[in-house]
Amino acid sequence: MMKILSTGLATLMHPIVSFESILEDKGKWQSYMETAVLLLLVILSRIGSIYWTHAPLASIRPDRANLIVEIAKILVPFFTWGMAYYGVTSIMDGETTLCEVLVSSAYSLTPYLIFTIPMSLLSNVMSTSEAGVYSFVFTFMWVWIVFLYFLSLKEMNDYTFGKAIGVFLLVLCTMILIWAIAVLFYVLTNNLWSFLKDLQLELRLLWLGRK
Amino acid sequence: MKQFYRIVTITIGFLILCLPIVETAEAAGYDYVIDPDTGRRVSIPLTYSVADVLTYEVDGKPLNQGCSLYIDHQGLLYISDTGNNRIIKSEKDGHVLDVYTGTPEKPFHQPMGLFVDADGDLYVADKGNHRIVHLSPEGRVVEEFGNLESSLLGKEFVFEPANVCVSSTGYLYTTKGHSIMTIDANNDFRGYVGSIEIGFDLKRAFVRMFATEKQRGRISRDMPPSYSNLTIANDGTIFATSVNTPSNQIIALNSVGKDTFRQGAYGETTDETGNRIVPYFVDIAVDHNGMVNALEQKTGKVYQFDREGNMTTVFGGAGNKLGQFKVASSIAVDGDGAIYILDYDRNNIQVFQPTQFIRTVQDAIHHHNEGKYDQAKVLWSDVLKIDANYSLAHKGIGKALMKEKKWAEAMEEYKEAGEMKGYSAAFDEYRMDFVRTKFGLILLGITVIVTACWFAIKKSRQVTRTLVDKYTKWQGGVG
Repeated sequence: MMKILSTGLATLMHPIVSFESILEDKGKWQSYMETAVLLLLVILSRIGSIYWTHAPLASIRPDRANLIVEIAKILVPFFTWGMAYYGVTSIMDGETTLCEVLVSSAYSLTPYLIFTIPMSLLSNVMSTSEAGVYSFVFTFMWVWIVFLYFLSLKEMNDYTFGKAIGVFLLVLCTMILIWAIAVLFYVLTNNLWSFLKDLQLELRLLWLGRK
Repeated sequence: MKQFYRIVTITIGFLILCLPIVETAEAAGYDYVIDPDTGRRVSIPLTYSVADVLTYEVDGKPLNQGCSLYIDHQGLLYISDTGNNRIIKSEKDGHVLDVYTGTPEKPFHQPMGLFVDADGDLYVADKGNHRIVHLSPEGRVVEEFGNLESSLLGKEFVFEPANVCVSSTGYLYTTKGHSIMTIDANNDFRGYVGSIEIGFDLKRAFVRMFATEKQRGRISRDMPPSYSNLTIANDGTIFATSVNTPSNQIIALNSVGKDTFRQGAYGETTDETGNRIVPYFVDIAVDHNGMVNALEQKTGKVYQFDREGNMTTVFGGAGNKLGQFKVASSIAVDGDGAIYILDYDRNNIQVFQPTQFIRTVQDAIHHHNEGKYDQAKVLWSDVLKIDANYSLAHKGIGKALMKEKKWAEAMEEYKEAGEMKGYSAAFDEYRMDFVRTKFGLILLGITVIVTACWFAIKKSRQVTRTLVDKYTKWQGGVG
């Protein structure tokens, strides 16, 4: 825990140092644990923010939120990023392992951890007239996170600035591609599944309906 | 291998029996409102029930393909019996008073829309004869409108009025395509009002850009937006319904021709069984309190709104049961708030009496509009006693509490109603009061938080120090 705290805080204040330390870490099992703990914290802060954000500023009402959807909203982009990052860097002479990719990506989410809960508590003294300030803070947070993602890509693979930008865009394109393929897969197999479901229903009615 | 097949067969058979049968939801007949945030139905207590069914048989001929229904100020019913080319005038209980067929030289041909002014003069949109006929209260033909001559109308103009209403200034209004045309008492065309704006549509733009002439002919079969009906309220506002348009299907034109009704989509995009539909509003009726009732033909639903466009109830439906319609063609409201709906196919009129619940809702809205917020609040509480989830009631009480400057309670009610704009306004006031009374405490709180943040940053610097030192040294002590 102490290690997560120090590395996390280092990511905020000295991101380069933090990413160097991740590269140095050889304990694979521990790194995965760190990733899991950080993701859990992110999910918990998302849930907390859903419950505690002031109603006029909230993006979603607690009674309409779906736990699984909320978790998926965090995990799906995270792991697609991880996959795309690993895939692209391994052909673009990168130096990172999948483990390092995941753990650095998880640490890059620390701004989310320090902003979300305090902001949702602070929102309770704000109304829609301050919505601009509120959304600005979150825009700032996301810019910071994207910057950290970019920096982790650049530092951990020893890329030059120009190449890092190119790879970063390539990773984003790959993410979109992965989702497109997933959607395509769903579209193509959807009919098959519904066919099997109908067949199941037909047969069942046939067997059970006649006594 | 044989055994393998057997195992597979057994497994599949077992799975088939285990999986659940998904049941489709029964189409339920209940009254509801639509939550503006989610678009979902929220069921509410019964609002209207059928008290009477009127059928007509005059001169041996029953009502046939009735297109329009009008109730005048005295509570008399006028029905355009389009299939028999006549107008039936009757009392509320269905007792026939008179039948109009036009003059012997020029009888009505497909009479459709009807309007009766305050003096009892009847106006008939005689579609097949390309005219609007004005009849005196005794049924004598006074004058006719049509044969309009104006350079503005163009050569191909065909006057086929399907509806009519007359303002207190004597102007006639009838719908023509995507506009409403006005005709003055001298049978002169006085221009169009309220033309439906056809906004930018990506699909249409693509079709225009890429499709060939032949493809275009096949694709753009969808009908252009057009008005379907109109009526005039007591205050002179013209309410109209339009079809083949995704939004603003109901409009309220004020005296300068501006739409003052809530902007947005009306009706629902799925029917009872979940199929996608485009709402088809055919008629609209406004009662003396300003409640707007719009009739949607495909689902046979009546959507009722207050003057601000808040939905108060949806009732009716398509079907064969009492209180449902085959092809609902016209709607009218009498002075007591009963709703009459004409069925084109079943050739009858169903009379819907409001229940105590919807009466209380309407009273509350009426009192609120008159500025009697206290009384409105009492009525809204009565509504909540019947249905604690009726969100319009919470909103109404919230408004009343705002007038009483009870911010905290108003916030509570607005939150209950899911009305975030109102909530925020109440909260602003509440916060202002709070800051005024407890300024010292707030100052103290801010100091504490700032100090805490400062300490947190200091402490986190210490925590990262070791890590930073280690790696900067490792890199050769730079930094």
